Amino acid sequence: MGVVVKNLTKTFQSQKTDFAAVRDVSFEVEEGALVALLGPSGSGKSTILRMIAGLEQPDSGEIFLGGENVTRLATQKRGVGFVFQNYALFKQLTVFQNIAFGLQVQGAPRAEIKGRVSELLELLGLKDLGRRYPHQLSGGQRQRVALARALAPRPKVLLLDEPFGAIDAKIRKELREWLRTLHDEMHVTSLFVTHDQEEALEICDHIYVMNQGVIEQGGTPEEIYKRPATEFVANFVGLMNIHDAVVKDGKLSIGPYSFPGNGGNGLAEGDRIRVFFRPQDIYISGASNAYAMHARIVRRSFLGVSIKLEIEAEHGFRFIAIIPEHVFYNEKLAEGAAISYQIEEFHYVNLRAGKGMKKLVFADYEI
Amino acid sequence: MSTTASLPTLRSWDVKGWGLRAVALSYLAFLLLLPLAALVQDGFREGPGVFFANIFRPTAWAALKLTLWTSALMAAVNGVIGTLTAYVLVRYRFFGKSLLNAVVDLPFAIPTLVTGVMLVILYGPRDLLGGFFHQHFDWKILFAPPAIVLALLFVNYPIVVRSVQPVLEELDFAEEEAAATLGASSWRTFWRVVFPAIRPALLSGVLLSFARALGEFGSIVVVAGNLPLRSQTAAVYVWGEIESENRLGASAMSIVLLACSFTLVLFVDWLQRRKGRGRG
Repeated sequence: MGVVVKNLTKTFQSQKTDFAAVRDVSFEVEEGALVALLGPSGSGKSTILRMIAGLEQPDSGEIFLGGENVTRLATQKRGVGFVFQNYALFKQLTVFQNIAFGLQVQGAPRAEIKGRVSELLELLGLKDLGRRYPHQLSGGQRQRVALARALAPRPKVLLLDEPFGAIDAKIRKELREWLRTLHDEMHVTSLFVTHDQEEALEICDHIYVMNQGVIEQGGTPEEIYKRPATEFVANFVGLMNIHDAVVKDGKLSIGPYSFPGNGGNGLAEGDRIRVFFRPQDIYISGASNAYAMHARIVRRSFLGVSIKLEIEAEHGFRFIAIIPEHVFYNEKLAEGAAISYQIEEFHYVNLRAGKGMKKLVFADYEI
Repeated sequence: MSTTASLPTLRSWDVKGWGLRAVALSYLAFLLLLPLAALVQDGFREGPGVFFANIFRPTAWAALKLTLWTSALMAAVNGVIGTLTAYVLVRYRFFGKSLLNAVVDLPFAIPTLVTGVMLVILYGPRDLLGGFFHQHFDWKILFAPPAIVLALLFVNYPIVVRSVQPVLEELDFAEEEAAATLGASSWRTFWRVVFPAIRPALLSGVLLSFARALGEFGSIVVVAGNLPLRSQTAAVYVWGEIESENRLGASAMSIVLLACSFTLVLFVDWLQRRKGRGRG
């Protein structure tokens, strides 16, 4: 019962301009997987979700649910469960009635409805709240009711539109883990829209990163994080240090680092390059190390599990490094302290050639 | 509710406050309570027996019954059509929507007498619509109860629309979308999701238009024909009693009309307060 989307396009017309919300997007969600559409607001991810549910009609393209082409099918007949960002619970109905709604529509016998609703109330930790009205619940409880309501009629696919967007940070984290656990128990194919990369990385099997109506990259959380395919993905997912440089005299210089222009990197004279490296891919040591570069700590911020260091090296090369809080030399890393550092990995985008992201090759190690 | 908590309470030495209060209250007493008291006193001045005799006189009783059933019919039709109009105005986008939205209030702006004249022009036995109904269905509309219902429908049209519309606007459209994803038809969605939300507003709109219809005079006096026992409404009856110098009959009927409207308005007020306290 997977989801297949082919060449989906949607343009919203307003009086002034046409807005291309989704542009020729194709992707798949494997049966039983939990997949995220990750992107900033306005990237078209919610529109895709709404088109899969039939709440919005695509201009062109096709949607398949479990192999069946549903592109022209009414929302009512698609058998999807939809969880809205603002819950959209039926305010006039009790929690029990909300969850029972879909089953009643199907004409399920009363006893079966009662059993299924009780089972879901139990599963979602809402056991004693069946008689309450939505306005008597907390945000987290409402979202769980919304989820129970969507799951009750056993949908083929569960679609979640920024489900935790309106909830406090702490409860959001709990709900997120709990959604993953729930998914592992029920195995319902789920597509999850979010702008929160942490959320997507933590709970999803597969992530599609969206920007301006197109999918920039699809992959496992690890692939997305470690091998961003485009500048946008590199920037959007996780923290990044970014530096611009120009190839001059056959060389590319980033701070104290120097890379060969064409040897392995295939760069032409005068190419403008944008270089990326992760704050976690920097090795810092308090002791002076002959093989490492030297720098000074400008600012140190304590983040709980990690420490964020703002570092200034020679040639005015500034970057951010993040190191685990518990490393044994960490008390030496005070503001103003001299340190050694080594950057493990650089990625770059050739601004002249396009947005594809490549790894920079170190000349020294190549020989 | 926290809104009332911030109201200042009057202190005994607060001359300005007491003065303002005295002016407001004595104006209210003079303008509203005094005439009301005078009316009730006048109606019962010869005892309850005579009061009821005046009400149950055939012409009076017929006028009262006519008024009640025409108003009730109007309120029912108005409830359905008003809800429909409000729903269309809120949920759909179409050409001329803002014009329609503005036109809804027109019946309030047109003098009721003018409404009556318009209906006479349209529904007279030899006129455009009146002639059609007369020829093909042998229906008599003008100078008969149907004209009364038509006049009431016209005059009270905005009430239900304007009481349901704001509630519909506040209703989250995502609720209807959620119902659709759960497989519910639009009819079922309306009854299970939309209707419960607008029910209090709809009920108060229907009752208010009913209460207003009980006293409608201007449009009816032109179109009804005002035949005693056949097409004379209570308000027109009161006017006739005054004209024929039977003040007691006028007072008695007025008290009945007043009691009806008063009860309805209080009930509507109670409904709205209950709604305000309830689900947020």
